[in-house]
Amino acid sequence: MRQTAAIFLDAYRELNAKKLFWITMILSGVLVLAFAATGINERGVTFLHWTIEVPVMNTRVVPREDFYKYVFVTLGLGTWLTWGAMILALISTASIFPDFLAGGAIELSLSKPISRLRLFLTKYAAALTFVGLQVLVFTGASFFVIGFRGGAWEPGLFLAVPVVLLVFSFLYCVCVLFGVVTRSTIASLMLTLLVWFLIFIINAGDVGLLQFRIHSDVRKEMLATTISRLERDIEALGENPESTEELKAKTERLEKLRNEQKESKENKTLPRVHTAVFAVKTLLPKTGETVDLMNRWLISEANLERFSGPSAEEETSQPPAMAGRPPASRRDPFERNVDREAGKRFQREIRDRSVGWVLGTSIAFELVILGIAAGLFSRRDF
Amino acid sequence: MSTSTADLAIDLRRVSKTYKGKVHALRGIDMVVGRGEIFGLLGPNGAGKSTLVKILMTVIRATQCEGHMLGAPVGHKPTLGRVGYLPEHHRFPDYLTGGQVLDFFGAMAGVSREERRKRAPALLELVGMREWEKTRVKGYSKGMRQRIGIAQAMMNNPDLIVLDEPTDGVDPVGRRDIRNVLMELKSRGTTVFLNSHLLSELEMVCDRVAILVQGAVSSQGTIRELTKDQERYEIEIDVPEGGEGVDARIAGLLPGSLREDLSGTGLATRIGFHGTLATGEALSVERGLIKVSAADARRVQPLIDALRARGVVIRAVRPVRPSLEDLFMQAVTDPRTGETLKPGADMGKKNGGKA
Repeated sequence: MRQTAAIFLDAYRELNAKKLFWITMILSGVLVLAFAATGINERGVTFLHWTIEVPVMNTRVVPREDFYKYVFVTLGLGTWLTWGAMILALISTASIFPDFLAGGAIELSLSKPISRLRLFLTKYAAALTFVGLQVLVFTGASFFVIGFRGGAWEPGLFLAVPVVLLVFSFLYCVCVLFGVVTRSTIASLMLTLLVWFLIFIINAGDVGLLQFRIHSDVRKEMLATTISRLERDIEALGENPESTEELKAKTERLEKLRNEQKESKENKTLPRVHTAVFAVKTLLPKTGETVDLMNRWLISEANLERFSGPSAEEETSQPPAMAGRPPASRRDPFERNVDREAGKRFQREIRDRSVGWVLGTSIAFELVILGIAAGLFSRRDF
Repeated sequence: MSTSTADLAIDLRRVSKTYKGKVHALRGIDMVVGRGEIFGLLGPNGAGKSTLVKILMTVIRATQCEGHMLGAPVGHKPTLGRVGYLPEHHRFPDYLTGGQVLDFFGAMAGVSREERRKRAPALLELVGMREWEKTRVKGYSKGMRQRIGIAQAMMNNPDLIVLDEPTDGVDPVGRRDIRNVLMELKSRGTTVFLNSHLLSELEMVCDRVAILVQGAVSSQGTIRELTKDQERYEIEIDVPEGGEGVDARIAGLLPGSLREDLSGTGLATRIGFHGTLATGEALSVERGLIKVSAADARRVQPLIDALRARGVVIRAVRPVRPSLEDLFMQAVTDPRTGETLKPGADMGKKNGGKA
């Protein structure tokens, strides 16, 4: 316990000596102040005494407390804590292990009556603790802002601390592994950022391919439904000699849809590629999805749709690859229905990915990486 | 040195270390260090001194090791709580002050907070760093870092203290202070294991030494034990000005058989005489200086009598013991070629050492 306390105190002293630790704290403070200065009224969003009129973001559309929670989750958590503060935290903690392992420094620690494994894990835990402290300060301050300004005292907000800490630890374990292997702060930091980018790319690939896949499935289903409905209609119209024009139009449409159905049936590559990408993703930490858990816990599905405004359904159901297509109102009603349904199913599918899968596979990744780093550290001659 | 393991601070048997399967840094080290003594480990660069120290301190894992330290197998972590260590080229975190260095490493050694608060000021006083207690280490000179390093090694009031080049970068006053600290530790019963290049320093404080050459122990024991066979007496006689052929005349006066030493290939050059006395002691005469290989003064008396009887004026008679440097140079010199052995570890020959 004495040694554990000493390592934690040393980690504090090390971070305290680094200006970046305090810069992150100050930036967090500034953001919380900006958060407190932001508000919502019946006309739109306010900042200090100014009001910006926003038709889809005012107290007639969104309750005040939901507005603050939404801002916290999307900007405070989703942007600052998971990107800005995360990068600053990585920069300020990346040197902990390389400095610890430097020649002349490591000998003293290894010569003490503490096992290498415990030394390694305590050092790791100490780094995480001080990053957690930063998140706690930000979350605590945000809790009071939401309480006083939004009138909602939401203890669930503090789930951001373990969530952000988990996300940081998924990346930090990689940084530690590279730190142990290379003993270089710059190299470990750069390689960690590269891995993070790789995770981002794999995640983007999964999301994009899933949207395409769902869109394709929905399209197939709706094609089949529409085709059978048209077949029934044509059969009924065939008995009526006065409906030649309508029969002709429906027959042409049926022919067109049948051709589309035939083409879509032949596309088996997409599911295979997506399955492969998903398998790779399963092995990697899910940084984005871990943060999105806060969305699930703090904001309901219905509230999320409400923040998106009246046309949200159409806009959210439109996959990114379809950007550039004509506005939904000018498109074929069949296509609009496919987009809407695909969007709904996509959201459901993402939300249906279990917490166990998101966190379990990510923690498993962390344990494996940490195990390799600890093994190297424990067996190496210094 | 025949003592039981319980009487020994360090008892090493067949310690070897091979890096990457081909660099044999240590080749079967056998070494004993008694409790309460100051033991010096010396050897040329790359002889394996620091590797041996690091094995003791669990910084490096031995390829083979059957040793004990303070009665526990080498590598037994809890025992390290009774050991103080100052590594060579140590680097303390720059963000810590001298006082914080002592506190941190004291805590890591398992010393309670109360004890740390009590010991730190006293140790800082002992190493002359009291007024620098609250200054960050990054502002310290090399000598000051060494002093703080020695103090941190003493924070756990160790039974054994291992110091790797403790006087490196320390000025003469500092070296004297460190010597005094070592003597103070010895008087308290602490065993000191000293690794140093400064042979004169070691000679002044060490009870026993070991010389490591190319990963093997060349010799170990007290300096007296190691030099016993090489002790001699030197008799300096009054040589007349321009004394051509004086060595030959002296040789003719001495009892026993002496023959001329000649060197050179073309024109032979006489460099002295050597031989044995009637009583068996080796003897040499060189430029008016008579050297007798005898540790016992009584053995020299007949020779003095013989010289005096022949009217030779004796200016001085002195016992001579080889210095640690002489021993060291002998150890690192190839007896066949007379050349200094190459520094560094053995590359490839696993059992070719002299241990």
